[in-house]
Amino acid sequence: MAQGHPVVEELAQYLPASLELVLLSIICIILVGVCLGIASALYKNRWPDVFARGFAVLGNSMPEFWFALMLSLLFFFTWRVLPASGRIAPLIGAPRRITGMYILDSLLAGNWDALRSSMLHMILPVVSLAITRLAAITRMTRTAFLDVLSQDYMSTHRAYGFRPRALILRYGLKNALPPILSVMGLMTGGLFASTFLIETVFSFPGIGLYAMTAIVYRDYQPVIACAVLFSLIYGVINVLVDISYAWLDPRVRYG
Amino acid sequence: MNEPDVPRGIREDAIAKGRNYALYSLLKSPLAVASVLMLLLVVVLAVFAPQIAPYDPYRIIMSERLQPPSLKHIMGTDNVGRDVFSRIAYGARTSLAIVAVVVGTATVFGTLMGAVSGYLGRQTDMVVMRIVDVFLAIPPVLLAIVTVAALGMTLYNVMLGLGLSWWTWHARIVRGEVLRLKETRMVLALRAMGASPGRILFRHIIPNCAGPILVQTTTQAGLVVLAAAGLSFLGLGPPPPSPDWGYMIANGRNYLPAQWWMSTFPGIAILVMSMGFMLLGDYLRDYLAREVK
Repeated sequence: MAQGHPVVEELAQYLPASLELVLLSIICIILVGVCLGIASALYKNRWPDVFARGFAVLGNSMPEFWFALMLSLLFFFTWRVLPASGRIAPLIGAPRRITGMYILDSLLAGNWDALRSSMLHMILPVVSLAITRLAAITRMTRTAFLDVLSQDYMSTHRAYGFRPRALILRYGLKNALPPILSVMGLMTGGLFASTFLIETVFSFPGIGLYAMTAIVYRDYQPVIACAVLFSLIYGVINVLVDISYAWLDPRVRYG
Repeated sequence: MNEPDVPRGIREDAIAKGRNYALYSLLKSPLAVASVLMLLLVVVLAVFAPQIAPYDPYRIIMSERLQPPSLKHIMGTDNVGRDVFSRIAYGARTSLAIVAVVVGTATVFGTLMGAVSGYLGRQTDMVVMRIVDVFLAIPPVLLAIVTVAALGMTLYNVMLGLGLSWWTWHARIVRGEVLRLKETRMVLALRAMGASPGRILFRHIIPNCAGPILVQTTTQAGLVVLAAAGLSFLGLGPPPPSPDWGYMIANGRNYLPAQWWMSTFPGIAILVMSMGFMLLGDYLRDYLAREVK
């Protein structure tokens, strides 16, 4: 509104950046969190478990915006290895807009310079968003996995002579997945709220930064629109998670 | 949690030595002791800030601005020459005040709503739980940001914005417990003896929910520390000259990388405080889970 455009258009312009950030973080959290959780459960009370749990406690109680600043202090200011502001190097410029997500767009356009640059720009924000949330997923995976591992069908399959890897991935993970997904679904709300902080730290032009700029100008329509939009996405994701239960576990039926 | 059982005999050990079991069990857990020490550190900083802080946190001395950590200023000085350590000590007061008010209100209000809703059931339950759902649909930090942005940046509004969403967690937990306890023989016996609903609820049911409430309150305190710091980092916290950790980090951000101490030390303070609450919450959860067995 302050810029004289309808809020909806502005949201449409900034949303892909935030979505890209949140989606990458979710992928990152699930991959790393589930691996840590499985390691933690398989090596219960040995060093991988102790390491994973210590890491989880530290991440859980870290102020993420502070961690983001420390990351940029080290990797950008001190070592100069990773960029810490914006979405892409100014000299390269944005790829032709298809979805608005730079990584996807540059892949589709086959623009490898843009791809490399936009991925490098993503690393620090994604790590800062993911680190504080790994804890919950790690812990959930550990609990769910310990539960699954003690089930009779796991010993039965082991007795049949399945290789451990097949056993863990196909039977263990699939059965441990529902609670992990449900924690993940509830987590997306916090992830979107955190884009306000992380996008501010990294001057990342997404919805969070847009809304923060609007707050500075005492311009409240975008802030309200943003809150409604995020809550809507949050709701939809949680409905999807509920539906996925039925897909993962055929015993679940919704009447 | 599938924690291994405590070595059998802690209780017997405690009784033999004539110690209080709860306290003895706490002292046996290194993480719990660490968490209590962290929280004590913050409380001592807050209470004795005037004695501990070597300088006035508001005193501006331009000739001493941006000094690195030294013996004179152990955590350096900020862009207008204020001592960072003194401001952290006074900032502990702000943080503790926010946490105490937000979590205190959320606990009392949430417990009341949850208990009444669970005990009365029917329409009351329906209405209260739908209100809870509305607040749960908005991520807590987002709701706080919107509230503070809309109502103005004062300490009171920060507390209101944070409190608005956290009470729902208590309400849901207490409601669940009440639904379970309502069907016990204890309540049936009380009803047969003619106890009034208020008496059953407040004298018998709520005290029985103390465990889960305590765990939720402690863990939540850790989350509120982080949320409040995030708000003031965004410039939506207590207004500027007052010493506040989140604001100090935001201020120090403009002086990275050369003056790294301005934002590094307040962050460590936040980390210590929230970790203290989180670890204590974890310990209490495990302890109570053990007790129920």
